[in-house]
Amino acid sequence: MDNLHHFEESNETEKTTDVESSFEGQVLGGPMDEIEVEQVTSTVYSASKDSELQEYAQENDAWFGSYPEDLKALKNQNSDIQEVIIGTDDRRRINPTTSYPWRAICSLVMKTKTGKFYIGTGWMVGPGTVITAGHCVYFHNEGGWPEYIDVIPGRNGSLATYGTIRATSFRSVTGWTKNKNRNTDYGAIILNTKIGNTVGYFGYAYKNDSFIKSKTLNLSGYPGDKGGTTQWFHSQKVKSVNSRVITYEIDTMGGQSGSPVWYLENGNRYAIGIHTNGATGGNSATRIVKAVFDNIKNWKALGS
Amino acid sequence: MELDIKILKNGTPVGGVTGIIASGPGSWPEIAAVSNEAGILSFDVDVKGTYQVQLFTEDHSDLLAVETGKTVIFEL
Repeated sequence: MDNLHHFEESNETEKTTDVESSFEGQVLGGPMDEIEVEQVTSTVYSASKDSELQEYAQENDAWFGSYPEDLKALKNQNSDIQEVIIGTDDRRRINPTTSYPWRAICSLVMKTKTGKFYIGTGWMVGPGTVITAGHCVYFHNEGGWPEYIDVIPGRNGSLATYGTIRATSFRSVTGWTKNKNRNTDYGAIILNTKIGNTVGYFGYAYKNDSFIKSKTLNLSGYPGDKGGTTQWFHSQKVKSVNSRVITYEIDTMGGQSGSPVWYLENGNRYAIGIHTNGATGGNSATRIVKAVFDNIKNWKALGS
Repeated sequence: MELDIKILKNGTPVGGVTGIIASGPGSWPEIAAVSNEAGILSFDVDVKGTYQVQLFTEDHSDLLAVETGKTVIFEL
């Protein structure tokens, strides 16, 4: 895997990346475990002035490049919340969320078939496809596929600028739905609208270990300790990488499952992981490897 | 394995309380659960043991120890 490199837009085989491009929207202002499975019903509808900080900001998302004073504030922020906050709480609220990429990140509210409710996060990967954790679209102890998921792109508290889309069409892989394998904890929500053409969507890529370790990774989602309605961001270097999981010390909390884990390159944002797990030893994402990449590509086409 | 919590206030089930797993053995899914009309919220975890679950209401939070396979009844 580590030595496999391809360009999606090319037939050449000796390249350094495999990527699908991001899109900023039009708003002006494998193995058996990877077999795709789906829900049977269809969608109903519904740097500041100092150069060191500047350099750090450039490694992070563009937001900090634009607002380096916020980066300083981020570094100084503290909180009483502990556990999967590793060290101090360095999460930073995104407000407003009406610019890209924040508006392409979605608050998710899931209702299971057993009548329970959950909060998660997803991210637009195409005009009508949201990528998230497998455990946000398939609940082993709660009747499997949920009754519905309300998808709220760029939610900001009580503001749902881009509306609430009620979805009932879901995808995951057998590695998750049958085997509950943490390595294949990922899935998709297929919308009946093309909201991604408005809010934009993330690119995605699979990369080798050394590339991933060299990058500052960004993560933004909707943590439950903040009410699950506001978007919070943090970025860090990777802690470790294995064949299917990326581990980091990015501060996260319950509700951020499904968040994009992305890097910024030449102004484009590429997800390379899907946040799924918390742990005191490091939070982690399902790594986008070729099999995951291929499924995301197929699911993206379903919503296009 | 499940972590189950039933939330009551003066004996009446309370909906709309958000819960997250704050710590526990191994790693856990970073989903947040919200209590339903019956006051119930639960988490599906892979590792048996005792987890710390933090509950959030509008004005405060509480930290509970919850053991897999057992239901904790919590009075707000």
